[in-house]
Amino acid sequence: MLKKTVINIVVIGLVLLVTSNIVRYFMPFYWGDSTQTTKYEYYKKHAEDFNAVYLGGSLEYRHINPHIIDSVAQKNGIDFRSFNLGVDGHGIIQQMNDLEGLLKIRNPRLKYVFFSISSEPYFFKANLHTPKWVSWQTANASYNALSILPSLEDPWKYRARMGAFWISSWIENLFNIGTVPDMLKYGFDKTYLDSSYVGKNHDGFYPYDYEESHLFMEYKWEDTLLLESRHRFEKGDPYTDTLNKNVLDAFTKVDSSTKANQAMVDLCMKAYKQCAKRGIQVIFMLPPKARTTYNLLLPVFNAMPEGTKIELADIRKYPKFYAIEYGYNFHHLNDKGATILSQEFAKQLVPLIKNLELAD
Amino acid sequence: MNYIPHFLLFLFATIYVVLFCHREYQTNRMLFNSLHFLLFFPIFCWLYFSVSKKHQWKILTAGGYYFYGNFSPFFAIILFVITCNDFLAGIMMDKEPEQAKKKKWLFLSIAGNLGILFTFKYLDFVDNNIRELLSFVHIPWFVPEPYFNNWIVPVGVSFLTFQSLSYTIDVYKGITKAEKHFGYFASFTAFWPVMVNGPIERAKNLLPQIKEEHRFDYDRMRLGLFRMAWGLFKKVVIADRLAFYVDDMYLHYNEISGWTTIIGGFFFFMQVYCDFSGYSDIAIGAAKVIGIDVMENFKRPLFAKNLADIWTRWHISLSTWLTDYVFFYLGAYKASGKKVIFNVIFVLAICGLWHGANWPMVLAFTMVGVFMAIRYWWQANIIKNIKPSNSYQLFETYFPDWMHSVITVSLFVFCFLLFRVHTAQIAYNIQHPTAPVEWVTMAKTIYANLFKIHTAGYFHTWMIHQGIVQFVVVVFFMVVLIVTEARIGDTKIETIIISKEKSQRWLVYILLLISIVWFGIFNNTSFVYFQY
Repeated sequence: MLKKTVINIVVIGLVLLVTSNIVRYFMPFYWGDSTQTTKYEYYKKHAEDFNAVYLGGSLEYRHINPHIIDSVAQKNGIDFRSFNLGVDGHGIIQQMNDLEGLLKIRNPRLKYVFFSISSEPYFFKANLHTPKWVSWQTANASYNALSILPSLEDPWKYRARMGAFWISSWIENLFNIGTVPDMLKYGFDKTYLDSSYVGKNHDGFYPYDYEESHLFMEYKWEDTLLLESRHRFEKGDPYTDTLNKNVLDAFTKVDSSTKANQAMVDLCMKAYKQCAKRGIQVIFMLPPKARTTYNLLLPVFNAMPEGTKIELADIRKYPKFYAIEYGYNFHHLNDKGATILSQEFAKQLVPLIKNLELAD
Repeated sequence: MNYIPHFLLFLFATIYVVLFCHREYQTNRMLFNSLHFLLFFPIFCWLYFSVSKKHQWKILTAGGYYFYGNFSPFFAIILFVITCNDFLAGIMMDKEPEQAKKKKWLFLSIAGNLGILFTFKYLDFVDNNIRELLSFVHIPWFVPEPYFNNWIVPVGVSFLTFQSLSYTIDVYKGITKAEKHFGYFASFTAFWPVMVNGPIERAKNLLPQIKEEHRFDYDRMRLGLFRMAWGLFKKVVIADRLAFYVDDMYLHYNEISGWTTIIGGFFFFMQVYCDFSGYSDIAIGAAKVIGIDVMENFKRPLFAKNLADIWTRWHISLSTWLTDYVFFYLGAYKASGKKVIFNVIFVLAICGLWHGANWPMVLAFTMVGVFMAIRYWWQANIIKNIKPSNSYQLFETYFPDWMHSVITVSLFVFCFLLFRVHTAQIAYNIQHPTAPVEWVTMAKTIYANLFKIHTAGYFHTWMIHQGIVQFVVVVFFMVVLIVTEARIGDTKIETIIISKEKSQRWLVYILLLISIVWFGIFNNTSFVYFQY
């Protein structure tokens, strides 16, 4: 009888697995998150207008203003038109997914992909079980995450817990657990998509300052957290000093001889090689105000090929990025901060691209 | 004295839970819709069926303490105290030959159970009311504010105490014999399928079953698992999806139109029904898998023909508890007409108080009681006799059944709008700290808005917030539920499905599973009735 029970459970599981995969086959990779959907659908429609894209999380989405960067590059005679594809909550793992999806979108003009080195495979626990989180966690994503986790230096219990979360998220993805109503929403009712997330200049840039007057995020807690974090930050919470001190310590301590996390390096190089095969150049960015410690990020960034890197995180060189005046909250810049960051980005980008073009 | 070793065993077990399972209190631990339970249940079943009859009660009790201790080890202590209190009272009543002497032990049991219930659930409520009353006459109250506000209410404490209390009352009345084996009694109070959210089982039904030997039975397992799946479907597919609309409606109580209130009120009724009956289904199914039959707690309340009928269909274990131990104690229908009317309203008010230590809840149930009383009064004046059997006569002649049900559910929903006001007020005040609202204002506004049926009000925003697809999905599944309930009648759903042909049965299994997996919400949403 027990054998019969097990067989029945397996049969039902298989039927569910097959039907779930059939349904998911018809969905694009970006369906789960309304911002991501809005941005990628816009990009898909206008792909050939752009020859460069930025991938990453909120550190890119809310900070990199393509309008500023494009105009500086164009003034310097570079054919450069970029689109910001950053999505809140995206880390290194989701960026890989984005990259794979991006390469499937036809754009013969695409020349540069900016890849952010700003996170390890940890995440915000409140995201768990939400349709957007589940939609991001494909088999590849979970594999990539699980290949990095063992090499991190946090307590094994924490890493094991994170590993379990990745596996459970992948299972949720595999069986479409709780996500079909959102898939139907994507398929039949796109009224929930807010085109303002494409940005005022239709370049995908949307700083948190705009968001605040908009406040129509997908999950209510995101709104609350956003406002709370700004209030705490502006009141001069001592946490800012702690964070800044940690950044300073990391940049003082880490040098070219510091050993990088090989699993993360491998993942970044996988992205690099994948793009190179299609004649696309990956440029790595190290953004300021990352949640992840720079003790981990900086050696990985240093290990990337020379001439393909834009560094914006060093507090000694860019103290303004960490100042209250230019910050929105502990880990984000405000519009003013985004402007100076984009200017600095453009300043580094121009010689870098000229060198790359010369090398070609 | 043969219960002393068991007593010590449980004392050590409790200490163990406290010392080694220390965790902060979390309401989302070990929910029936959690991954934790998904792991706990098969492991428990495997252990339970692999030991001999002699040891099965131990697994059952350990499972119960693990289940309850997972919310907070502190809760396990409360469970232990309740168990000891009522076990002792039962034993002592058994020893006393005279009814009068038994009474003092019954009193001990009642005082113990209601004392626990009062301390954790009602002390803050009483404290607040005394403070407000005294403030009217400008007398200071010596208890600092908020003193009891932060006390944790143990999950399902009302269920635990009422279940345990029914045992001692039954022993006192001679309905049940006192249990002399501490372990069996501990299994009864710690019977995890029903312990935190009902059905409130009676000792005379549960204890003899606990003592029996239970072996793995394929057919029982099929029936039980299907019932569990059906309960999960109601909870995660319907109740948790409806919660979005209900929460949204109450948070925008001052913007809603009549139609939004009517739809939102019905959605809230369905949310509570699906949430609570879903839990009961899972509890009944889980108990069935391990070989124990638990009483039904819901019998299609949507098809009730009047408000009195709804109480024979909604939270049956509580309504029968209140009928047996309170309503009959007050004289039931044997009393004079006016007394019956008082009894009905009083019992319903008690029912409201049991549900929540707040005035909106008491008022909601009292309103139901008043409607029921009006009906009895009306019947008494027409047929000059208050008898529940005559209650349908007048309406039945003129209206079809479905119309009775529509009127009954509408009246129930009308009263139920208050059910949620207390928690909605707290949620609203957290989101609007600068402009908090009083529950009276909130309730008045909601009822005033109910009659504004000429405006679309908040409905359009509702659709934008949640999306038309979500609305269609949740309405579709509600229709599926209502049609299914209409078709199955009073027969248990699992019995009907299991008796079908293999192909039909499997089609139902797969469709049910796909609905749960694809359309369910799995973010450990707590069950609505957990707070009671």
